[in-house]
Amino acid sequence: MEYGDAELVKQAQEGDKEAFRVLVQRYQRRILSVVIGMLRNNDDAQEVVQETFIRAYRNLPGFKGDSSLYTWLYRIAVNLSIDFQRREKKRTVVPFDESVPHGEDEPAGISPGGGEDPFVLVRNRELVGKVFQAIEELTPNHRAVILLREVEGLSYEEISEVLGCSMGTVMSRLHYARKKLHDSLVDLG
Amino acid sequence: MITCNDFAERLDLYLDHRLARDEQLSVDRHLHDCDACSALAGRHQERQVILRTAVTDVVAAVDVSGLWGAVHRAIEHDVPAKRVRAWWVPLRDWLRGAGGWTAPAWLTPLRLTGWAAAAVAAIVFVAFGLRAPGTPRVQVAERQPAVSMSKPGSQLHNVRVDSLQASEGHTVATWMQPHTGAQIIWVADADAAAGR
Repeated sequence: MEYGDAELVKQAQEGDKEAFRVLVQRYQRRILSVVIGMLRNNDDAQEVVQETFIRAYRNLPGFKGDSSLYTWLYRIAVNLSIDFQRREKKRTVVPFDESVPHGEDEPAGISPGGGEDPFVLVRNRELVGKVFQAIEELTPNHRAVILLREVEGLSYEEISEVLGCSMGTVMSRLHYARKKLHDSLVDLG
Repeated sequence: MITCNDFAERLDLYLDHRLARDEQLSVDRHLHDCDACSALAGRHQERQVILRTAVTDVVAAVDVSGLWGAVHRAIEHDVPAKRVRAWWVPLRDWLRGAGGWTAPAWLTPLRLTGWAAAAVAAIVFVAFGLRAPGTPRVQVAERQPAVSMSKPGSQLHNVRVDSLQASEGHTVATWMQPHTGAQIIWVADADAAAGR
């Protein structure tokens, strides 16, 4: 039987670490997606995700359930990512297009189904590089908005909850970020 | 009927499926008739897919199996989070930071290990190679005392004598054998040294 978030949170608040383990394993990759997009460094992202869950556990007694658990986790993760970037001024960046696995183990997705056309493969890799280059040039807040919307599929309301800003701000940041990304791809046709 | 400018203003709402039903129908009709706006919408949708799948691919390649263990240890003992990293990661990070050089992602543990092994082998080779030529002096002198002591006359023709001391009844000379580097100490009584 699979428990819902609310039930698991209640159990974890009562000290049940096993319930918290289920929550961690349920959300670890979703949180990692946003943090990796924010930091563009797998090792740093894992450290921040780890810290996100530790903070969440310690603050669990104060979690009233007014918002959903995952928006609360996203909020902690985004804030920690922004703090991390401020702290690590000399942080080095691994370009995402180099982090994406190559060869036989490459997961489906960016590589076109069947992998027939080398031209399409090359173009897609170039597109990925351009998209991430454009993401890198965004401010952390713009980056967070576009990742939460495009990758995680959060609604405007949820994003405003995560970032603690109005829906108007969310829409304006999203528009700006999309325009930047779009402009970066124009020359690729 | 909406114009291209109207569509541009509604683009975000269109992409996020937040248009009202009647607006959605108007936009669909416009896109059907307008190639430019249709191409614009297509490029945005392609970019959305690229971003989503690229991040998903990267995340799928990350091993998160140790995450819960690290979180559990931290909450169990109430200690600050500690990085769970492979041994080579700090070295790679240090290399990246050194002199502003950005190390490429291909600096993998295997390559790093190979280079480290090659560097150690080179250091060992150089260290032993430098020591080898300097040591035989004493050994040669020990191995060939009879030569230097029993045939002093023949040795003296082609060598530079480093010291020569004569005292009552005997003479002591020292020199270096040019080919072997052996230190020769020659002791003779006074008559032998004078060639008598």
